[in-house]
Amino acid sequence: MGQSLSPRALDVEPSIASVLAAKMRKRGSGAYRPRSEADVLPLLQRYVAQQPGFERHQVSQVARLAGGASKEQFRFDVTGPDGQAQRLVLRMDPPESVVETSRVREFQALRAFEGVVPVPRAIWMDADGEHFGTPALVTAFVQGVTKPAGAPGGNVSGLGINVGESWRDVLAEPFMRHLVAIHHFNWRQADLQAYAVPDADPQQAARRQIDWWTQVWLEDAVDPDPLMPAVEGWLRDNAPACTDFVFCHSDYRTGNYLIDEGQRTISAVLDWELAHLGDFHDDVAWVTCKVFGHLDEQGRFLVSGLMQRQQFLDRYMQLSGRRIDAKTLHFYEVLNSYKVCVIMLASAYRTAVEAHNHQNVLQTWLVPCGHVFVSEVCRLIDQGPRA
Amino acid sequence: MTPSITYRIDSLIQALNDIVLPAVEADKSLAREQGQLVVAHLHLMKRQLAQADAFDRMELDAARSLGAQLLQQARDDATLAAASSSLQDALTRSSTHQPDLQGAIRALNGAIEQHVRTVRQLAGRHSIDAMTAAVLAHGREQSRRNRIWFGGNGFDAEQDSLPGIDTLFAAGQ
Repeated sequence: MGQSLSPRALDVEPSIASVLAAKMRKRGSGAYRPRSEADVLPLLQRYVAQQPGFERHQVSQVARLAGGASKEQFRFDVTGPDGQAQRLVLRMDPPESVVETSRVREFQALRAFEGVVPVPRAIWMDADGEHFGTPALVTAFVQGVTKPAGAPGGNVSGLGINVGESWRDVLAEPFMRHLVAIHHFNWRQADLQAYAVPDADPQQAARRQIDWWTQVWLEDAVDPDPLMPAVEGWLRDNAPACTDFVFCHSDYRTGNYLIDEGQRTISAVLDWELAHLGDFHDDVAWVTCKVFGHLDEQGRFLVSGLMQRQQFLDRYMQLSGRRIDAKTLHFYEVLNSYKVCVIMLASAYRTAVEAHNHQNVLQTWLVPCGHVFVSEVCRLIDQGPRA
Repeated sequence: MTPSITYRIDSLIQALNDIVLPAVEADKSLAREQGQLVVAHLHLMKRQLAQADAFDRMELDAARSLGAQLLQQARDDATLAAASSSLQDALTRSSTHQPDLQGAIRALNGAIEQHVRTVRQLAGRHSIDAMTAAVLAHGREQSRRNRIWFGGNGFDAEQDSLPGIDTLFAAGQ
């Protein structure tokens, strides 16, 4: 694309910059042949046997999992000499995916939030891909579904899930409480070494997000789009200050938690791969994204398919004790739309062009979704902050 | 005689729906999901097929219009005069016959995207605001066109308020 703005001039968190650099080293390496269950079984057997206390365990029941748009996932059983079995999940990086993220960051986040909110227990990590040939993570398998049985609808990748009227009230409260718990978490006392604190100046939290997704656009865009640098410019002109850093989940929405249908509650908060330290408005804005919600039976828009926007904002402020600033929320709504434009219009498309993913057919299906966000980003900038 | 592409797509959809997908075991959820996505892609491609070239021409015309508008704005700003030659060249090239429409759109949008970055770096507030307004107006129209073009992929909460593909082309003529 011949852009004049060099990615080297951008301020991206070191552990994210390292993952993006690894992605670029794989660029042009040819089509990826997805791993089969038969490929994965011997790899898992050897890996498990290397773990202390698991030398005599056996791996069985390897099965590919659907869901998600980025990592290759398999569930499997590990059985000890005493016949006790536990079900685990292997989560591996394909050569490229809709988002390029760090398994080390994900592992640290899952470990840090164990006991804070329900998460799959992080068990082992192949950080550099020494064993699996690609970075990988093993977690406990959590029972649950992303969409309750009989729920009216939703798209692939868990977008726009309609859990149905009978589930909304059941899920809304734990959904709110877990979000607030994530933001109240004392991350300074946790082992989150892969995460950098954006405290060089008050705008660094916002600027790092702009820079991260701008670098991804410059690296991944297949078709140029004049709108992207124009929106990037708007973001730079309007970056808010932040000095009260929280741990942002960064993909908190219906579709990214599991529902225990028997207990009628949330059994696990998933997809921590985009997490970072930043402004709580970032997560609040993400939850309100249009593509994650839908209209209810009366034609009212429900954020994340659970509640109306103002209800969500009011309940968040009530539970968290934080005040939502309309201008800052607006900035993060624009930033999040920009980010999804990058993910859909650039990374999903690039991944399919490179044939670097096990779900290239899903990647090409996701690309047009970016146009919904282009409309949204234009509308948000035109409209300005809502009172 | 050879079967038309439309009939061939129909036969692919039928084979997948009637033979292939029912044969995929229920617990092979990713295989089932990808099979269903292939069917959905084929339905969408069938709807787009007859008008694919016309759609690309609309996209190229819209890019030309934006490029010309930004070039006019640059002529009014002395700091941008020298930096606009690449955009001028790209616009000139785009006006000749283009057998590869998607390549032509990519080349012109690449030049416009670069021009937008240049304006951000070199120009004053007035020119940046004028450029941003023009690009946002273009973005609104472009995204509406694409949402109509890809209507039915299920991601658009406002899909019901958008017209069908045929209406898009009737309006564009």
